[in-house]
Amino acid sequence: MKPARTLARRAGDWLDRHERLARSAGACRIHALALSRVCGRLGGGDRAAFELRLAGAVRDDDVVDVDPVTARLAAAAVPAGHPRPREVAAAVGLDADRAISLFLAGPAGHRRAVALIEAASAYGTRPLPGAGLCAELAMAAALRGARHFDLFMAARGARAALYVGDAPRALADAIQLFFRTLQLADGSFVSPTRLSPAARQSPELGFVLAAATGLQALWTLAELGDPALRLMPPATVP
Amino acid sequence: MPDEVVPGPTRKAFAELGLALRVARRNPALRDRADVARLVRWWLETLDAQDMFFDIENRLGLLSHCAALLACAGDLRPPRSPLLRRRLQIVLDRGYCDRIERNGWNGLDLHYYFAAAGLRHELPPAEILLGISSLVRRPPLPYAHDIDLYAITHIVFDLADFGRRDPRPALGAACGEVAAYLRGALALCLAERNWDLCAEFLMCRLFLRDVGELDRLAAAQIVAAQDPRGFVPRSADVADPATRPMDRQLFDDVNHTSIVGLLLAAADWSTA
Repeated sequence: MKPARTLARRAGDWLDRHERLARSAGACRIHALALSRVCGRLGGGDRAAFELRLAGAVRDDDVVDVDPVTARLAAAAVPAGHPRPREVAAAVGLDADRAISLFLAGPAGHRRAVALIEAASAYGTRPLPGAGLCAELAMAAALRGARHFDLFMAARGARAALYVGDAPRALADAIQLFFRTLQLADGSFVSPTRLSPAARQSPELGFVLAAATGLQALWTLAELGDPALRLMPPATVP
Repeated sequence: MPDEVVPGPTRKAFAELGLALRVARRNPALRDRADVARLVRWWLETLDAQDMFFDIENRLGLLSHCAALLACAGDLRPPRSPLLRRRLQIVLDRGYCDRIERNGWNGLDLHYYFAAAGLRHELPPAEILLGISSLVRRPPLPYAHDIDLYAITHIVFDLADFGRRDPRPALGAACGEVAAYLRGALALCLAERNWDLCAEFLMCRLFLRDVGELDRLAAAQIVAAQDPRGFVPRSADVADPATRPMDRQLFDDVNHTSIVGLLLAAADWSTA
């Protein structure tokens, strides 16, 4: 089984091969920076030169089209007035019963429950009292995401499980295996055939989706592999 | 051709109901209920009236189905019919049905029903079939399709004889990993609101005497999903059955999950 470092190095190689595309648009630049920094955190080679070149090309308004979480991972400043995720701004503790009810309410509920946990735990940087059942259901939502190729839910659900308590090891192992074996030979984590027709026709959009998927996969593998590690810096979370 | 006849949805539903009643009759809380007795009477009368063993000597595709019917009838109205048993045994004695290529799940299912019907066969021993089954080398849940999950639950049902036998010794060293897998699968099916598989995995966990908070939550969700008319919908994702009239299509959609619900109710909850 490939260690996370190998996966990160291959993802970094993929980024290097697509540098021209990475520099082509604001959203591409921020996603490329975020993915590169996650690759670096996982020991995927020296990314400094790539990041320096890219950072030189970043403009102030590049983050406008990027979700704030990716922007923070890219260490890009979110301009004043740029909307932040409402859940993060509203984070005050976790109502475990409410989270469990949401997990039982189907896919839309899963997204809301995961957002609640991300907010309450500030992406795992703020300790939450153990809620074993909540962690198990978050991991189950991640498994459902994986089965339905909703990779963002697969990744976010798995991390949320980690933030809220101890999910059963067998489930965490299954999600790790899923993401480890998702990486393609070129270092990306999503096959072009999985992209929507619109993304297939737009190289920039295809790049953003591939980078975002790689980011989610590596972020999840990193934190599941080392439960003490948090990629989201606490200081940047409001 | 007669040997191309296979059980359709109605035959399948009838056999599953017989199976559920066979298990319900083992449960002291259900055995003497008037509604269970009425269902048992209807089932046996239908079995006799419909001549369900017709031409079984030539309809090889119905052999396992008829073995299950014979096992259920034998338990619901003992003693087991020696004539029907002899007719099925003649088919098996031809040395075909128990010698062709089968996967572990299929083999274990046949093993279970042939034994329950008192039939001799030449299938490989259950330990061998278990060893090549997907219960021992389990497919990772992110990739498992529903049919793979049904294979898992049915193998546990066979090993546990629907709660009458402790399956843990048969699982040996794999027992802990199997229990963890069943728990994960139950959580997954709960997240998917798939009440059919949810009930099946819940039963598996009961049979392994491994129940807790998650199982009680799953049971409460299945109970909440039950329609006032009595049936349990297969999944929360299908068109809302509450708005549909009870017709043949709705029956086909809900009969399996409802029968599984009866099996779940009949399972031994003493460890929960």
